[in-house]
Formats: sequence, structure tokens, C-alpha cells
Amino acid sequence: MASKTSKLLTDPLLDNNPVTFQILGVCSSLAVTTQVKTALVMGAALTLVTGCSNLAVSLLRKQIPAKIRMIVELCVIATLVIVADQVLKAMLYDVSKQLSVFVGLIITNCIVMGRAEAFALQNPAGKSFLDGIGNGLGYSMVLVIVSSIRELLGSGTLLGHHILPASYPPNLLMVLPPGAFIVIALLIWFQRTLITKQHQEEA
Amino acid sequence: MGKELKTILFATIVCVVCSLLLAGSYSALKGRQDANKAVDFKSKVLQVFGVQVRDAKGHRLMSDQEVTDLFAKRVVGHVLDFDGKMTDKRVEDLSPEQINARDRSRGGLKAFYPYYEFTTDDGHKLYAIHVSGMGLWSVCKAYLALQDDFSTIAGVAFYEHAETPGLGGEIEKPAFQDQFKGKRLAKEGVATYFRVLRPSEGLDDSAVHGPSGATMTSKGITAFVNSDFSVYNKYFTTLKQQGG
Repeated sequence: MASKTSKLLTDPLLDNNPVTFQILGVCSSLAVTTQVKTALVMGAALTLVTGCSNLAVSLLRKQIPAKIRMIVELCVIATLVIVADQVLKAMLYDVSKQLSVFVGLIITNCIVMGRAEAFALQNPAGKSFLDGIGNGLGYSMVLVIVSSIRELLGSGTLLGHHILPASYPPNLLMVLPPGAFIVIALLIWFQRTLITKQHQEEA
Repeated sequence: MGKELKTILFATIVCVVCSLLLAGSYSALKGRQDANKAVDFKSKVLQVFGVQVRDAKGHRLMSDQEVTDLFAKRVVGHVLDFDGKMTDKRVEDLSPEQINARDRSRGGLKAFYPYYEFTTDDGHKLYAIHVSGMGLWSVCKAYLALQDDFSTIAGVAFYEHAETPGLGGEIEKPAFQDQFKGKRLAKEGVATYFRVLRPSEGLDDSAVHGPSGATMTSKGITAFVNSDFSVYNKYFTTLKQQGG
């Protein structure tokens, strides 16, 4: 049982990663990954929102009338996202300006709604919360990997600190959106090759 | 209890709880958000006067407190009416509508024209005038800092616009804004016609190159910079006569 619970957290990191395996939430992963800092904040915001929305939906799951199920889920998610956005604007103003609309767009992020529909509606609160956090972390992990590669190759920095020598010319390809497409595609390729291999060996 | 009734009741409860949460977080955080916005605006005004609030990468070099203190110590705001006469209004009290909307009844002028006066370390004065108007898609808003000859541009900051990213949106980039430095808006008190030209056209000391592919944005900026400056220039001319 213990291993099953921990799997809720670790499964979405690799085997069943929401971005690279389920290909959800790609839009924002492309947009907020030019710098590690914004990626971290975005990942944290999404993780909290997914965790809390899963928790709330799971607690309500026996009461929610089936007809308005999705509207209620959306209402819960939207409320959480707006609160997260307000907190960011008050506490991390600069970062929230860089993230601009993308925090608000967490509402439409398929990961949040997807986990509420696919998991929280059928499972008890504790498990649902862990599932939400796990998927949020899986998303954050991809964001951090992609943004590290893009920031390092694009501007020669990591979290704003110079890593590569100042003579390194900024690589615009990495800073602009195509860079994100290329990096994410490579990640998906690596992941699929590695994991399918593993699974074949297990079988 | 009927099924429909239960559904409606449930929806109502969810809505009320969510609204309470939103209203609560909004009123709890509003103070800090407004403070953040105020500091952000002040740092933009200071930046246009050449104060290094941010480095080239956009990292803040000064704390919120330092920005607020420096602004309070060095910057004074004034408001002109559309005839170029000084009013006793305060810049903070003006709505965006009053300083951006043009009205036919005033001959296409805005209701009020705010400007900021800045005292440099060595006692010189700089003046930042507010210029804004339609680009291609949106109202572009900027502060334009002038030297104390009321003509030479010391810096410009476009603080709000929604032009096409990569084309007209390039007006927010240093590559465009840095060109303004040293250009002139007036010669011996008479406003010159300042122009934002195509990248292929030749320049003089009151023209800059617009971003390529952004002709409409460039034309818009040309129009509103000249229209707005002409009002400020009326006041600056009287100021200079009094001073000299």
C-alpha cells in the first residue's frame, strides 16, 4: 500500500509525465520556459493549484450533482487560480509581470481539469491531493529542465547568474519559441526511447 | 427534495463560497498590489531620467524603498491643461482617460498634460513629458525626458502598448528607444517636426528609424509626439522667457 501511495507522486514524474507522456499543458511549457525563475514560479503555482483542486473536488465528489460536475470543477479551479494570481501580484510582482497571462491560463491547463476528472472524482481526498501534487511536480520538472537548457544556451545564465563566459553570444533560437519546441520534442523522444525500452525489457 | 432543487442549491453554495474566497483574497492583497504597481511606475519614470533602476537584463538594482525615497526627493509632478497653462492638479489624481483620450471639442487634444521634473545629482533639471496616442492596434504610452533646453531628448520609455510583437512591439526594445537620445524636438523654442521614419530613409537630428515592418506604428508615434509636444512647448516657451 505504501509503495502504491508513493507511486502517486513518482509516477507522473517519469513514466506518466503529464507533459512529455500525456502531452498536456504544452502551451504554457513553451511560453514560460525562457528563464528558470519564471519556470519555477509557474511550476509551483500549477502544483499548488492542481493539488488543492484535486483535494476540493475529491471532498465534494459524493455531493456534486452529475449534471453540473464539470462546471463545479471549473469553478473550483478558476477560484484557486485567481487567488494564486493575486498572491503572485502581491508578493512576486516582477515575476508575475513576466508570467503575465499564463498564470490566469492555468485555468485552461488540461492537467488540472484532467486530474480532477480522471482521478479526484473516483478517489479519496488524501490520494487525490498526492496525485495532484505529483502531476504538478511532473509538469514543473519538465519546465525546469526545458528552461535550464534554454536559459543556459540562450543567454548563458542560470537563475540570472552568469555560467558561460561573457564572450558567449546569446542564442536567439533558444530564447524564441522555436527553441522550446525543439527542446520539448527532444525530451519526449529521449523519454519515449528510454521508457519503452525499459518496459520491453520488463516484459 | 427534488433533484433539480438540490442541483441549484449546490451550485449556489459553490458560487457563494468561491466568491467569498475571491473577495477575501482581493481585499487582503489589494494594498500590496497597489504599492507594487506604484513602485513599478516610479521606477519607470526614474529610468527615463537615466537613473539605473534596472540593469540591461531587467534585474532591479534598487529596493522598493530606495525607489520611493529617490522619487520623493528628486521628482516633482506638474499638470498642464490643453492650452499649455499650469494647473494646480496633481499627477496622481489624473485618470488614464484624462491624459490619453483625445477629444474633438478640444481640437483633438487631451484634457490634461502631466510632466515630471527631475533634479540631477549636479543640480540640473530634466523634464519628462507624457506622450501617447494610437499606433496600429493600441494606444502607445510613453514618457519622454528632455534636457533643460526643453528640446534635446534625454531618454524615452514606452511603458504601455499592445502592438504586434516582433514588428510594432519592437518600440519597447532598447534598440529603438536608444536612438531618441540626443535628438531634438525644438529649435530656438519652435517645435521641429519630429519623425519616426522607415529604416531605409535618411536621418537628421530630429528623426529616428522605426522598427522595420512597423510603418503604421511609426506614423502613429510621429503624430502623437508632435501633437503632445506642441502643448508642452507652449508652456516651456513661457517658462524660458521668465527664466531668461
